[in-house]
Amino acid sequence: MAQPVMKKEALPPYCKGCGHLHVARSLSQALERLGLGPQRVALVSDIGCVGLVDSLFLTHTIHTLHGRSTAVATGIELADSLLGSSEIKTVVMIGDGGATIGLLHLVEAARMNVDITVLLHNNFLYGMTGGQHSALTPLEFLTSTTRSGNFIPPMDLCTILGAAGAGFLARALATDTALADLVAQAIAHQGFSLVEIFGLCTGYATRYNERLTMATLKADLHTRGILLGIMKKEVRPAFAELYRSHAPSLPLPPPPIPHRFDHTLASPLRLILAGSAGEGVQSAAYLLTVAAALSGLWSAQKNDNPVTVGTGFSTSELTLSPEPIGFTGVERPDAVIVTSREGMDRVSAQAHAVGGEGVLLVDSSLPVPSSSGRVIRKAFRQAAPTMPSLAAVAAFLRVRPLFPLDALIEAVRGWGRGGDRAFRAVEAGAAL
Amino acid sequence: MDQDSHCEIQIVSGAEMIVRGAINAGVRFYAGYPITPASGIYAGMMAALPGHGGVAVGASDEISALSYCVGASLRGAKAMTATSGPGFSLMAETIGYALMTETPVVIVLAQRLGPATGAATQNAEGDLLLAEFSVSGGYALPVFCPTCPKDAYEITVRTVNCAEALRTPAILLTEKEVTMTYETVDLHTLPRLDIVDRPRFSDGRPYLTYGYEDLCSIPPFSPVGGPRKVTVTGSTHDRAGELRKDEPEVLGVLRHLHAKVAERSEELSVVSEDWQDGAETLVVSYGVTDRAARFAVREARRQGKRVSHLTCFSLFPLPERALSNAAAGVERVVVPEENIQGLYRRQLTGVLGEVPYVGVNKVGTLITPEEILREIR
Repeated sequence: MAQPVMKKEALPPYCKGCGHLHVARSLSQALERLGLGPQRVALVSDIGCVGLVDSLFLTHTIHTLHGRSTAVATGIELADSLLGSSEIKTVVMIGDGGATIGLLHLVEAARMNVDITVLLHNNFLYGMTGGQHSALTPLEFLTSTTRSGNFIPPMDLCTILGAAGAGFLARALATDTALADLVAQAIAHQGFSLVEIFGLCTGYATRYNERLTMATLKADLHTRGILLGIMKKEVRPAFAELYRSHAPSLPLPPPPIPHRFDHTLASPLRLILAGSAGEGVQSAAYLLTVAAALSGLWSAQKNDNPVTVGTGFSTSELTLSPEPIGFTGVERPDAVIVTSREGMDRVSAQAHAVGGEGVLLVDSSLPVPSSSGRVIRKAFRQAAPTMPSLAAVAAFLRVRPLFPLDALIEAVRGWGRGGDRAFRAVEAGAAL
Repeated sequence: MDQDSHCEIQIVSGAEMIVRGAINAGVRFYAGYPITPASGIYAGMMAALPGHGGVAVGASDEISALSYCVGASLRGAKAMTATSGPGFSLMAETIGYALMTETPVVIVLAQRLGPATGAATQNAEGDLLLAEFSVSGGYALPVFCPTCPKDAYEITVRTVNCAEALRTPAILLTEKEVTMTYETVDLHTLPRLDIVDRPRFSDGRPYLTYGYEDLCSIPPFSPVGGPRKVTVTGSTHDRAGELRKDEPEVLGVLRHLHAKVAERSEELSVVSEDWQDGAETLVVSYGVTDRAARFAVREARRQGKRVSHLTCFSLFPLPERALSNAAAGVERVVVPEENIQGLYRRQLTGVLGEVPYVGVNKVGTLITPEEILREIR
């Protein structure tokens, strides 16, 4: 004998004849038929009169923000199935409002095939706030905000969610004697399920629309071609199953960087690499920091690029230091390495700021920048067309041997990307 | 650098250190939506969390992401998401819901220049007040803030611990210059920290979802799906979690929501104090700007100036005792921040007493040590 899931003595907070109470009782019967005790059910209710069903149930009840019931239910179910052992069933009680504000959550839950059951209480308007029209209001329907009749056709949730991949979709009337059974089927379905349940709002809908009764509602649905019963019943793997079979295994932690080489830095060196997106500027900078670490130096690397990422300028500001680094800003760089026009345009002010002791390494295709630093122009773009920055970094190490070129080669080897081209870029740059 | 067998040198970003801290703190549920400069955290969790037995999912939007986290936390999981200003704005209502329902959850807010879309790839420190005051009623929310990739590890662990211990949403406020900066870190020197779990209900008395003993105490948690009925609502409620309008118990619950965090400012305080006897100036700093401040303070002392420095890793609740101690006897307080309005500086009124304070404020580039040094007289 299943434990009761509804409070015996609770006073329903509903108007007489309200559809919500029928749905609540049908859910209660369905849960008892499925042998689900109150501890094994999470009832997530949205905002509106529908949300007040939580006061009637002995199950876990979670009354959420407007529209977010399905999203919170998704989180509960994901944790239950993937961090636990699927101990509970999660049921959502949602109305016109929640289904509209939270339409995306419904679509996503259907698409992901999250194992939750949504009971959509469609009473054609927003009851709690005073009978305003909703996205589910039929044409010509009278509400407090469609006094001369609604003129925008309603959306069909079942069709929308069917297209999103929902596996179990059904429609019923709140007063159907078979509703409890239908709800039980929906709950038992593995994966996302939704039952759209048409009911009467006796506070507003029937007052505005005098003809409206369960009988005229049924006839009306028939006229509109909205079929009652199970619309779709397809089983496909639920999200939890798909997740488990596709989850990546733990990535191997990268090996620590050993101290292999000696450096010659007595104080911090600040440099800027500038070029164009897609030319490995930020990778070259990264490789320089790894080479630095292999040589016992600390580093900080900050990158910049426009929002477009794949086009436009690409810069890296680096600090290399024999001591841990404090401030990471590079205002007065000791070196500026520029391999493209876009890069030059971006860092022209910093290039100008390079002092007498500093060096500017610039691709020979670019105009000579005005600067007090030592300007060295080399054909990086020619020497390594796909990785001119890396070639330039290798050339820089010849000009300022912070550590052996071998450290950079070792960094490229450990990187494991860029293939042969990366080694050749280093070789070519060093040879310039 | 003195590398030996007791070193573990890596080049890591702030995002990677936040991921490491979260996983080590026991986070096992992550739901995310990409946004610069937080996307590295999302990608890192997606790659690493499953291997640790956790769940990381992509959401269709930030409201979904945080809502999934709230649901997972109600079911008992330590949950986290990460975003930037625009995404955080979308999450505001749900943060209020987590606060109202005493649901532990961590939101990483990686700042970028705003307002609105702003500049995705540009740093700023302008979301401090967005982080603390987005919830209706101004209820206290813990906000923590690292200064660099290395301390992002520890601060992340502390933020997760705080969310759990206090059954509250907690914000890890950070920025592009931390999440997307790569630095050499000796992982071997990362602190070993205790991991804190939410207090669990275990005694035989009838369970109340929010059964706190005193206003400041934390109600023991029982998961949705556990053996005791859990009653959760975003509406005002009594200690049982039942919706009530304005009875005394309801008003008590509201005061409890604030008190349990606000009264713990000392316990939650995470600061670094660098005092100099006879200091005439105090520099108060946070975030990446703290690094320029340290530089400036060192240089100022070299020049013979007397200056103290307080680094705030916990921004809210205001670390009042540390602030008023630090300001005692100084003639001037300098608060550098990478925002135009001087957001944290304005919060310090009342804590610093009559001491005049001045800001170093700009956006667009990092605040430099020189700019701070100029204000240290």
